[in-house]
Amino acid sequence: MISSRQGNWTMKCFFKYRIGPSSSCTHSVAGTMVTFALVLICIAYTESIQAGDKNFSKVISLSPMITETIYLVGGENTLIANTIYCNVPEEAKYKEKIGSVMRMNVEKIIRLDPDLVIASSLTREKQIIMLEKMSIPVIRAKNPETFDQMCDLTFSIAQKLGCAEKAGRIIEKAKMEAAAILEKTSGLNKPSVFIQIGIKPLHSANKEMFINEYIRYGGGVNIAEHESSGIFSREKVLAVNPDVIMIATMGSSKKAGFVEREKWMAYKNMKAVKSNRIHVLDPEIICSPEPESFIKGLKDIIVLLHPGLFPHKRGSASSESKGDGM
Amino acid sequence: MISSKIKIWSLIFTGLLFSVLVVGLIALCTGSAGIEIKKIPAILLQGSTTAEYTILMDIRLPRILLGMAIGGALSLAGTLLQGMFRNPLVEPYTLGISGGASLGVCINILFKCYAVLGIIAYPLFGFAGASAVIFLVYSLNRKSTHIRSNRMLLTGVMISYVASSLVMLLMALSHHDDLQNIVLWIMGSLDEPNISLIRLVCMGSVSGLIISYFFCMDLNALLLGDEEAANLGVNTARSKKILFVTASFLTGLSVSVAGIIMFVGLIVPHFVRMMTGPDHRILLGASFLAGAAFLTASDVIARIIITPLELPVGVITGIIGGVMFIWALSRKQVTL
Repeated sequence: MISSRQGNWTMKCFFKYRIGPSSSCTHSVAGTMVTFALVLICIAYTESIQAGDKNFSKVISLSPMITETIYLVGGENTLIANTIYCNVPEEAKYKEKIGSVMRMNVEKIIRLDPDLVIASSLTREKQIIMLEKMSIPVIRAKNPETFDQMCDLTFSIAQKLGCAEKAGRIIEKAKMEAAAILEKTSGLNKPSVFIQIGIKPLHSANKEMFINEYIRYGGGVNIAEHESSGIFSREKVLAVNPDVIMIATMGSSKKAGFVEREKWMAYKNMKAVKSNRIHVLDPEIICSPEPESFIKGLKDIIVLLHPGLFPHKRGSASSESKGDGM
Repeated sequence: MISSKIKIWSLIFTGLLFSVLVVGLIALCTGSAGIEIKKIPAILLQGSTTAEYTILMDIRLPRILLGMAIGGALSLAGTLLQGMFRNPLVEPYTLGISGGASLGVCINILFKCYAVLGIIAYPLFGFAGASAVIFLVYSLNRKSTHIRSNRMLLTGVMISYVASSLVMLLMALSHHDDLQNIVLWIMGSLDEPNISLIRLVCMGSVSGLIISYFFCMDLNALLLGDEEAANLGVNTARSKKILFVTASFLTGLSVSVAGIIMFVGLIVPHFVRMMTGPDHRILLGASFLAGAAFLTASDVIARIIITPLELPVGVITGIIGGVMFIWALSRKQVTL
């Protein structure tokens, strides 16, 4: 996670400012002066960080997730280059390209003279060190593991680009919607869920992946939540026999998901097969770790986990899971 | 007769040295940054004030030096092992050294040793893994009087398989961030920010060349077979031991710094042998220079063929080297 140092400093300043005058009657004049001086120093420090942050006007993104976040918070004008895989949104395609996610072209980055490079967990450490040696500031954006981390990451990136206000609004809205959904689902029966995100080997999301949060907020129990790695055996899925199976295969099309669905349908004795609760989700929405698409995905998933809550949507949801077929 | 041989050898040696220099210059002038060739002398003369100078001297030059050192080391290791085992299929990775290095790096990533030691932990663990395999292969096949070559090869191949399986096991058990780190390392790359490490590899590979030159006559004798070599007065066990350790050290050094770069150690020695013949007096130096030029040239192609994407250099060494080798083999009807 990127540290939100600026936020902490602002809070400290705020408290100092509040405490200072209210307690001045009991403190000596010298004490008040010291507090006042501290407040001034803090404000000056905060402003310098803000000014520094606003100076990031030539940013390079090293992953599609970061590019999407930059566009989401409205910082696209600061983005000068991204990777060849940054295709969402459409405009991101036309930015300068600096290589792939795993192999960036250091020479080209230096030539573009950015004032900030935002690296992902897939960026080679050696290449990051090379950039740092060239005095190019690099921040490392780790993959978020929870919805809260996802919001923090979005806010941190937005802060660096001077878009904190818009990001704050987006995050506040997403958090409110997520909390409302959590409240709605908390008192309901929790169906057991298997969410498949990889085909070979069969891969699910454990508690270290934000995808687990869809099930938590959606009022279900993820059968792979406490596994040490995401790899899961088909046999174990059959043994646990979950109520719902959801398929969102990362890095492949929805079509691959329907092929997988057919494989699961062959196990006639499974609860999910009997009740026709094997659903194919759009991997582009589900696997994108930014607050807006998380809420979008969550809204799709809650209909599938608790169809009773949305009687008017039930028909359309199940027809989508069956119908798009091949 | 002897003078004509020396003439040919010096011609080959000068030619190769020249090609290394030319390839090095081309590598310095090419890249996706779009620096014009005619401006390069002016940029270099201006000094370290410009971004172009930084790209040339801090990005390209270290990479060229590392490419040359590793290309030379792998190719020399291949030549030594092929000569020692009298087997054209042997290459530096056959004896499980790459597997051992990969395993060492996986352990480093999984146990987060890099968090304590810093980025230097990668080459350290890679080298430790490679050394462990060398020790294992050697000690399993050591007899008081001689080294059993074929058994050694087979043990190496088996250890290589065991190591790859263990790497896969660790990958299956690892956290997804660690998994990404492992995959990135295995893909191999000549990017290296640590200048002292590059210096170390350069010195290591040149020392390897010097040591192996002490045994060039022994290698020539070994081509006749172990018994004939012993009859000629060669202490085969001692020579083989030193040559094996030298080749393994060269490979371990390369793998631990640049990851796994395939084919250089297999193809280059064969090419050079087609050109120079089997005499190790010229073969060793020529292989070293040809390997240096080949890997640097492959890296240039890997860097510019699909700009801005940089391909793993192993892709180019495999495709170009493999195709050229099959072509040469079918044309010259040579026996290896």
